[in-house]
Amino acid sequence: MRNKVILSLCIILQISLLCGCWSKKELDEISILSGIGIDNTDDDKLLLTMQVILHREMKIESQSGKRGEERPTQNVEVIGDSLIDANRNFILQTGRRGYWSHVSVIVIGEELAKKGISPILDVLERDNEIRQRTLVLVAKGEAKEILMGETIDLEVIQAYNIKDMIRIAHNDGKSVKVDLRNYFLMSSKESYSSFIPGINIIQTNGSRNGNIELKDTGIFKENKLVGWFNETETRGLLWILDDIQSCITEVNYPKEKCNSVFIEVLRSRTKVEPVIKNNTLEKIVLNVSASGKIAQSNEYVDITKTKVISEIGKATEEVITKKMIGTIKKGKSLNVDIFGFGEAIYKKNPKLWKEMEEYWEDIFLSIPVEVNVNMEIKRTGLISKSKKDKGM
Amino acid sequence: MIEQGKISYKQLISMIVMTISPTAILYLPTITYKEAKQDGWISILIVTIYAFLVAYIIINLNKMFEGKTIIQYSGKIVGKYFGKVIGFLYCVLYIHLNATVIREFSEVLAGPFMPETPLLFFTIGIMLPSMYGVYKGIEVIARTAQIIFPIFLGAVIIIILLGISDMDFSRLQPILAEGYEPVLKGASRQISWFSQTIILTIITPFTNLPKKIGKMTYIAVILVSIMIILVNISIVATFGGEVELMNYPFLSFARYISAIGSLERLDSIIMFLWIGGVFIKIVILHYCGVIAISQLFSVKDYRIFSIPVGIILIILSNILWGSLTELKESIKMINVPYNTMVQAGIPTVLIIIEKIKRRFVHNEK
Repeated sequence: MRNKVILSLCIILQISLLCGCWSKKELDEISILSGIGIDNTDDDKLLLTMQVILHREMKIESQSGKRGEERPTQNVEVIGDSLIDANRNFILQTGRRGYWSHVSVIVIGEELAKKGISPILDVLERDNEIRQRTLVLVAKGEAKEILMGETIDLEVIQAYNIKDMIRIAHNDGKSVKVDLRNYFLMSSKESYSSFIPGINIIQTNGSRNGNIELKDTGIFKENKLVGWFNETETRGLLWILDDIQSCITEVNYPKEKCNSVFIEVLRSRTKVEPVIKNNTLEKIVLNVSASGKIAQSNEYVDITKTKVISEIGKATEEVITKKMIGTIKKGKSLNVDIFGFGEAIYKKNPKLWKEMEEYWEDIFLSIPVEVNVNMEIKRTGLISKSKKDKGM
Repeated sequence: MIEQGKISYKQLISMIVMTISPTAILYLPTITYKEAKQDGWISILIVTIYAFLVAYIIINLNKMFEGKTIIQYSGKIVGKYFGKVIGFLYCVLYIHLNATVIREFSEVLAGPFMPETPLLFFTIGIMLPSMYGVYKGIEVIARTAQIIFPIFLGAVIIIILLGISDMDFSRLQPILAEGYEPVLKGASRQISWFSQTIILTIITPFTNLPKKIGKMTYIAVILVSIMIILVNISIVATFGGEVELMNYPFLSFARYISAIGSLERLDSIIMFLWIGGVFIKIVILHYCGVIAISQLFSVKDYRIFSIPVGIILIILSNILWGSLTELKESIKMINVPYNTMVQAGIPTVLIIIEKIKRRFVHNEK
């Protein structure tokens, strides 16, 4: 009997210990954020657009099975001296604390990006609520408009839509994908330059705020936006960085007829190889080996012949080489080594890199780059020849 | 009460691994990276040799005086008064080291997880079970270590495996970019961890077959070394140069994991790992400290020291350092040289004196 009393006393005492932690966050005191847009105001303050998930709306939706007129998210605009300050000012407008752990995208406004984003980066790396997997984007224009923009409603929360856009587009070789960790890694490397996918808003009839689309790649040098890579250059960048998962490449074949064949790249591997002779850097060689299949053909192509296939392969190699060289040219014109050439030299010959480091910007501009592509076409799809049109 | 418990070999391995690895996993990668950069794993290989050396000395010393702890036999080697001084140094070592560990433990809970909670809360929370464990004796501690060790090891390996898709092993290049100097410097930062086999000087008498103890210790050291190398390589391959800036890289690593669709935010596993692992470390050091003190003052029942030492540890761990920065600085400036001296230096001196003495006595006969 006495033991039972002691036991039950112990259990009762435990209740007081187990009920919660000191630093608890009650659900009715926080508001969960899904996306953040960061712009700067005219008087050098930060304008944060914080996308709040309205969980009540989501609940109604799942109960009724119908989607209401309004989105289950709402954007709150807050002005503050810094990220932390703005996050506190968020309370003034909403009465809740912003909870950053579920933020999936951070959109940086173009103006702010041009001015430099170093101060906000420190908070993003230091704070324990922010996940390093959060994706970063740079808006062509204002970040707040991006978060207000329309997307197709596959995902009810708009920020998560943007996240999916980047993920899938990256898989298809249409866009780069950069999360906070990638950004910090890039900007702290030998080159001090980095890139972030761009996002744009297109005005169309019928939509209230315009649709958003991923477009171009913002190029950063020392955390300042210095230029943009267009779609072809972005593709070239992905080729150089060995970041292609799969992509479609258009090739003219046969050349004299100017007809297109589309090649789907299935596998690829790029190696950056600095050629060093007599302790001087001679050139940088990029070796690409890839394999793919024919995704679309035309009537002049006779796939049954191996010669034709290897010719198409050759033509593809040329196209890819051209793209990569164009990208490197653009990179040189902006004077940013986002291709990791400096790092490759450091890995190959750290002593030489120490000597070169100081003059790397000049060396980078003058160094010849050689691109060797080896493309193998392995599959041709379900049919062999294309059908001929009667009229031709 | 004189300690009657006996521990088995599996338990001994678990105890040694759990004494070195928990804090090493969380703090060592940054400390090593600051010096050795991407060659941290080579530093660990080098320091493993050092660990073998220290373990070899300690084991041989213990063999000469079977069934006795260093507090008891140091008096026989260098005389009563110097023996007491050495014993006192060991008491200070165990208490100071443990205070450092307790502080490291509560800093991790406070830093990334519960910033508003006062440190004292965590310290008391971990010391209460520790005092109880010490009061119950070596067997209880050893069994707890035996239970937690496989879970700890498994969790570390699972976390590393889940993060493998984000690793880029080219970040480990170039190897030995600046020669051996930074690598050796990196190794020197780790020696206070790898000479923590010093707990053997206290727990050896409680093992049930003293002949195999050397082999078991070497196995434990190899296990620790492999585990820390794996952790180090995976962290550097994931975060590259960023490791230098991180306070808890393995925690950041676990947070970054996103595998098999929605399996992410694994910091809770780290929390579990950390509390379980460090608890064992704290209990073992606490126990060694209590035994050392009781033998220094020739008190038969060591248990009366369990609670007072626990309270001293709580106070010391809270007042010795003002902040994490201060803690790290003092680890670098004080702990490394001091621990090396007591953990490796004193046993080496003792064994040399004893060897000479024995030869001398032998020749006289």
